[in-house]
Amino acid sequence: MHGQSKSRTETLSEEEIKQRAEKGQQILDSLDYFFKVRKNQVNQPEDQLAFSELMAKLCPEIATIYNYRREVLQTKFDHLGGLLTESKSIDAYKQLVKLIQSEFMLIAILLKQHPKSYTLWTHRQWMVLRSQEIDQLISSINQDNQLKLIEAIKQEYELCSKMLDRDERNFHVWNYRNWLSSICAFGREDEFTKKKIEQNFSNFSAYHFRSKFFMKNYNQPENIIERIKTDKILGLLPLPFDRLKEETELIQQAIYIQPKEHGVYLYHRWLIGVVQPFGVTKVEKISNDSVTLQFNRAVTNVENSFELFNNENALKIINVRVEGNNVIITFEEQQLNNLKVRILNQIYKNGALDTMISEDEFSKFLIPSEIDVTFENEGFKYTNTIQQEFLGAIHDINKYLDENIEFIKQVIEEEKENRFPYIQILYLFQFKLRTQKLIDASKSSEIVKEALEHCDKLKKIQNDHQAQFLFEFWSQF
Amino acid sequence: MFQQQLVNHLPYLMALDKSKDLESIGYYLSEHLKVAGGYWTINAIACLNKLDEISQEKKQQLSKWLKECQNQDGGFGGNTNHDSHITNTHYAILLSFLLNCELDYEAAAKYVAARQRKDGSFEGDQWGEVDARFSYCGLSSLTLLNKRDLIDVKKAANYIKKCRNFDGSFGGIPDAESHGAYVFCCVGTLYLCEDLSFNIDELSMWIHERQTSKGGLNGRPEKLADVCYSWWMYSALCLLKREQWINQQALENYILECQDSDGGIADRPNNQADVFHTFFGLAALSLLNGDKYQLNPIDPAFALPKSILKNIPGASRFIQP
Repeated sequence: MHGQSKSRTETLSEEEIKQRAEKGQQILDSLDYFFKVRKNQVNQPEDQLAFSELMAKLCPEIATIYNYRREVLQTKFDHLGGLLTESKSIDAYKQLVKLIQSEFMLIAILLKQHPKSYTLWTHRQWMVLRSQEIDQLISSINQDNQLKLIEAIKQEYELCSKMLDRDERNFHVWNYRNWLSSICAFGREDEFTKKKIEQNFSNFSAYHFRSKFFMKNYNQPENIIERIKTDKILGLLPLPFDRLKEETELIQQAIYIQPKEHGVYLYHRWLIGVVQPFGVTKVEKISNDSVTLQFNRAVTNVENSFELFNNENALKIINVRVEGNNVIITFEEQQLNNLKVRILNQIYKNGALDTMISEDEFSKFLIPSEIDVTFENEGFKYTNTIQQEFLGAIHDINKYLDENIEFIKQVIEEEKENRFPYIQILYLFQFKLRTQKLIDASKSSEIVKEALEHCDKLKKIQNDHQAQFLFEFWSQF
Repeated sequence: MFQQQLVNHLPYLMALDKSKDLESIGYYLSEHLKVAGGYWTINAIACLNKLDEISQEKKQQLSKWLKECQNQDGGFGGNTNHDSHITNTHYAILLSFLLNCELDYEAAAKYVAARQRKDGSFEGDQWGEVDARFSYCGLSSLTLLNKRDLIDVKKAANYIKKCRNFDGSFGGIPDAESHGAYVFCCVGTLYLCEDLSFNIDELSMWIHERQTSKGGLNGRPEKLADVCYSWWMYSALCLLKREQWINQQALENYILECQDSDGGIADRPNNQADVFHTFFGLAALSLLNGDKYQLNPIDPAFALPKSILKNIPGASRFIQP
């Protein structure tokens, strides 16, 4: 269906047409017979596995053939498993091992021709699960288990490596490999994804899974609590700071070598974005039973992150609700004279595994602050004071961001007609703006001004839709 | 750049079931795709406003065959005798509306609903494959059949949200790489679940960045453009009311360039046409500029002509105006 070049359409001779028609009819006849077997309308073939193997090789895409094959295999597994349990039959054991091994071999052969077949990958996955069950059964009977599931899984990783050498973007393989790690992780994700990236800097699939690996490996609450012990506030970052800098160098190198590739900018953007601080930037609205706070990005897991006081008396919070970038906190209705809102980073403050999370980046780098509200005739005034301790870390991240902005400016210098670095710098300016709003909103306009200048430049080099769109986006500030 | 009258693709479509395409062995190997193929073909003809070119006799023949594809478990296989699968069940339901024939919808709905797992995801069949495609088939089928109460809609949405990635887009299962075709499945599912609470601008920006210099959309960074992504992602933009986030004229031009001079539309310029790309090319054009090409608009949520959807009560509140 895909990638059929028109110029390559063959014109066949009459003889060839006849042969193809015959071959086609053979396939239809075989399928006809297969379905009769499937519905028990004829006798089962003596060797059901051999028969279904023939059918699979003839029509590798027909799922029903594999359904039938799985039914046959399951019957055999159950039978042999039973023999094993009853009589510890060595013969049954050997047959099980052979069955499993030849099935994996068959699927591998078919995958060579059809590497993107959902049907085949599903069948392979099913086989891994059955192997796992059988391995458990064998181990329960005999401590000296020679099936060695672990060895088998290692072979599966090998298969994935080979297939990714042939097609580095095959998402079936990447997904299968990712799934394998839930069965038996060998902890080589770091190494493997790095190797693929070094083989080809525009392998976005590798960057994608590398980002997943980083989050799983470094951004779990337990990891953060450990890191806080040594790295203090920077321990809150989803990635250890020196790891981040190492990784950023790698991607900067990739951008430098292949500035016209798209994926490298996406990964660069993610790395920088994932460590940006988040927190309250504005008190949006206050009533006598609620306060609405605006954050510099969408957040989640908010329930335990607030303390409210009126005239130094703690207020009972009834509900905390998220709406976009806003968080609405409702409390018992009362006359407000002197409202104080504390935003808490529970994981940093109390080592509690819970804390507010920035929704898209899953970061826990929430900046605690204290908001003091005074009321006047028609409205209210407030100050938002960031916890002193955090200012150093914000400064470090800002410096890191500025370094990357400078880097992209250099790329722009070298790549004047390339729209990617322009788009990239606009993303980085967005991050900068968010942080600026956190620290001192009054200085935001300078950032917006510089962004608009870059929008103009982008329009000049490529007055396309994206340029216009970004210009309008930045103009709204 | 030439611009054919799109109705010229009609002969190509009408001939699809007549020829056994003797020059291609692929025909015989796609026996399991007959239900899907029927849907793509008839829907493409409907998009061209030419459903009545198909004789009553032919429609009855197709309807009879379609009914025979339903199995004891209520589900449909890809052809008669093939085992049931949620995708073929969904295609069969869609095709039945196009042919105006009735199937045992009660049994089909039960089969589809039984595919939902505890975590809200949907499996393809009893053998356990899970994928956002199946979530979409589940939501679409049960919405059309007015049987949404058979499943947990909230959980279905929650599962899809786990498929979201750092780039703002969606993959087929949690952890999978973002992919243009899965954008359709995930956005379609969330739309039908009435829960679009994710960062729509980020996704739209990702889609925006899929447009290549020739105007076509690719499915992932660094991949080639393909006509089918015109549908998968432009329909999603329509549901999200972000149609302007890509260059619509350039996309339209690209689809026209993918036309095969012998009829039909191919995946990219100068390639061979097939029914799959013909349907998706026409469907995308119907959204981009249906009036200009006199196309019957295909609804972005259900991938059926709006003219047919208005007669389906379950669908009414989801139809885009």
